[in-house]
Amino acid sequence: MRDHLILTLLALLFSQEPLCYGQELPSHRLSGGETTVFQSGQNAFSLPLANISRAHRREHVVGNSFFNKNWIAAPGSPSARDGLGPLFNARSCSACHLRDGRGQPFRVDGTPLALIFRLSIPGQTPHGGPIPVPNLGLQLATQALPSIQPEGTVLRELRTISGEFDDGNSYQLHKSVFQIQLTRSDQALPQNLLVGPRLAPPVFGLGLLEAIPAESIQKNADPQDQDHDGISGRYNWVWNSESHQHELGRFGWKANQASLRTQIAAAFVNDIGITSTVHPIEALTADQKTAYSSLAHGGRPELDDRILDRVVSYQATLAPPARRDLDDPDVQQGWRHFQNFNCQACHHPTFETGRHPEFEELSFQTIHPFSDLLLHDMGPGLADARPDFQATGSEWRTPPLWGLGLTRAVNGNEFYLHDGRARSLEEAILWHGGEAEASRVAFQSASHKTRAQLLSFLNSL
Amino acid sequence: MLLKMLQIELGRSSFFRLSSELIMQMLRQVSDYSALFLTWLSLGLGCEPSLGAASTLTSLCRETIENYSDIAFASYSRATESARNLQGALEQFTANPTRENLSKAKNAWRDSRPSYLRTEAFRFYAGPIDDENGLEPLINGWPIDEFYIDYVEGAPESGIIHDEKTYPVITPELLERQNERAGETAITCGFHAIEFLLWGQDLSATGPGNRPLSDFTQSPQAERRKAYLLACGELLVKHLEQVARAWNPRNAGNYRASFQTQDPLRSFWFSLYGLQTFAGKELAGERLLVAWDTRAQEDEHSCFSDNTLADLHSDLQGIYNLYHGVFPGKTNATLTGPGMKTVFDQISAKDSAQLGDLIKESIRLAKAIPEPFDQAILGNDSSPGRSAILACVESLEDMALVLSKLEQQLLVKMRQRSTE
Repeated sequence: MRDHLILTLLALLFSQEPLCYGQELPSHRLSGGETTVFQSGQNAFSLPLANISRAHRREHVVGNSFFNKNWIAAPGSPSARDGLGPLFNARSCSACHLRDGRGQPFRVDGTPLALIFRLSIPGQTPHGGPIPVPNLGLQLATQALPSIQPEGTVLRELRTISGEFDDGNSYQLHKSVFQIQLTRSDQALPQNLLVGPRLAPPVFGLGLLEAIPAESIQKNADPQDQDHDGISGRYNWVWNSESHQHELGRFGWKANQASLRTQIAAAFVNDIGITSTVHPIEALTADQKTAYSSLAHGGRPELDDRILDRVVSYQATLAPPARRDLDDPDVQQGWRHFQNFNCQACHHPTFETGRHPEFEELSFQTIHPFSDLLLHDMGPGLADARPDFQATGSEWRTPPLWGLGLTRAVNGNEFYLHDGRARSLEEAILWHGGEAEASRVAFQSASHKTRAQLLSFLNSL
Repeated sequence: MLLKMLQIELGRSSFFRLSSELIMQMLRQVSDYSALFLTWLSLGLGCEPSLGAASTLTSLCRETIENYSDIAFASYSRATESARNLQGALEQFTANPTRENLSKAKNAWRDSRPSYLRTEAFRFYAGPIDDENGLEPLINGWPIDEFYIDYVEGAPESGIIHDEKTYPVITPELLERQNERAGETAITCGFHAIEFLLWGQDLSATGPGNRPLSDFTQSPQAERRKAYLLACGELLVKHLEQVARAWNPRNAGNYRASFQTQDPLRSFWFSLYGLQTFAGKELAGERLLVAWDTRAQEDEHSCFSDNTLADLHSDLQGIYNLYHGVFPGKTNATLTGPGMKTVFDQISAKDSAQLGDLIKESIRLAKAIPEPFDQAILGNDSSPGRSAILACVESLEDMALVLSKLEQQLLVKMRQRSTE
């Protein structure tokens, strides 16, 4: 309390501002509670929890090396890092999650980089998940080992959509239209194909999100919108391939993964072609399995449990960065606009973590991810029409906003939303529809200054 | 609620009965008005009057930061100078690729390492080396997947050097652009790219890599390989110059300028934060523990030249330099001034002394690791190599722990100061 008092006194003496929002200053600074790190350059998303134990830091650094390094084709020189493919989208985790940050959707030559394409046909598996495309599986493999061919590639056509703010200023949005081209001419895409583009999101703070008690997430759900605020919020209920039961979905653009461990194991097998005890079989169709059966593998499984544990530990212990510029009046005003526009209804500012079974460091922290981890209908503009467990084709999990302002410092560019179509935070906001329609309209009709202040706030996260 | 508290506190405060005009007038008359103001504030509100300590800490931090900046500039200037020597040796070798010139180039590479590694203690607080310009991965990007550059065992036609179709001409711009394009270990330039091109893969148990000279003479890719080396040499100098400029006292508006004008405690906190991350995460973790854990040669720092342990010694020398505030000159031009120790002593003499001991101890333990590093990591945990490495890891971890304790105490002082 004394801190507040003195700041207020200083404010009274040295400026004309009455009381200066002193109360708001310290509240959201430590995005990850005691785990928060203070770094604003290119390593901002790559540091271990500030309160990490010695043993966990050791796991963290070893996991980091397996996250960063490229996997090679089996059999490699005596190496724990062989087993790539046969089909894959990337050679390493860091190829897409560069410096643990946000991916760049396409390379300069127009081929997909950190953007993968989930595929399915209508219907649900007995567990409630999407049904694989018979000749392609659940994901398009755009790369393959030298001796074989990738499944296909994706061409992108950019469409420009023009619009206007209420103050008369115009803006332009980019929408990508994707066209899948299969490598084999004797294969065709099914008529009822469902395609879900998915951009690699930042990967820090995930341990903290995992440590939020399920009840804390579920209690914010309002599937029938009983409070009539136009915002429902549903949680996904997904199959956990390790515990073999249905659980609350937390990770992924549609919250289709229940735990960090299953999320990581799924990424290993689907994106890099690396098997583990969680996913002991390569993600191949029956035909592909037969065709590639003579290719060498990198062990069964290719990722031994100890290494998987290290990578999980690494991901769980990547810390969120502290907020910056909290004393900037524009940031403080922006926070008010954020609330006035009702952004916090889904971008839930604060959670308390419970006891994490493995990481004491993550337990009982007050964190500020700015996400409710629930699914919201975002309208037809963003919909991909591909359901995933309980998530409909137009529902998306609220992405956490922490670290947003450091995107450019870490990755040198900005691509937001599930397919990376938004080139700035402003564009990302303008794409909001459905349950977020009213918030977007409020933003669109606000003055230039107000919009700039809101962006200042987002950039302070 | 807050306002109510404020009124109650103000009612008790004799200080606030002075009119604010009078205060402002008096403040204008003294140069260090904030200190005076803080005295009054603390007396008026009945805080502990620890102003003396706070102002001493501020001035100690200011002096330390100035010397720290001088050492940074001297260190990066020296590193740039050795990189120029290396560039010269690469030019000489590519113009006349003889066995002798190759060995001269290798020596120049080894000679350029200590001066760069002594600068690594300036990392990890988003300073000029690892801010959003991303220079570090271009200079010392590591570990590297060398098959992005040139052939490796089992992949005789891999890398940019063989991919003439995609990369018809090898230029510095190309390598700069491609660096990390395909992930954090897809490194195309910097010290370790040069190291790989000079030594080749290390497939030997006893010595470093042994790239045949014919790679630069008879090989169909000889010209492209030479162009690659030259481009790397040029980039290395350019990038190091860029960091040195950011610390140059004669450049207005550079990083150093803001580092020295912002709150000295904050700048000191940056340097402390960086050192802690460097000792714990980087040296103990990435550099030593990963290779110890995986027993894989590909995880050692300078894996082509077997220079890993020499690198480690220079890294530790860099920490020593910052702690003691020294930069050893070539002749008598040794730079000395208050080191970080000066501030640490003020924060906690006990922790500072322990830190000094741990730096000494880590240097000793690093020297006790048997060469070469890629053999020391092998065997069972009780082997002399593995136990020596682990002892060094633990000492560095302890170092990070003490630095973290000092950081916590500094942060408390920063908070206290803002309330005094």
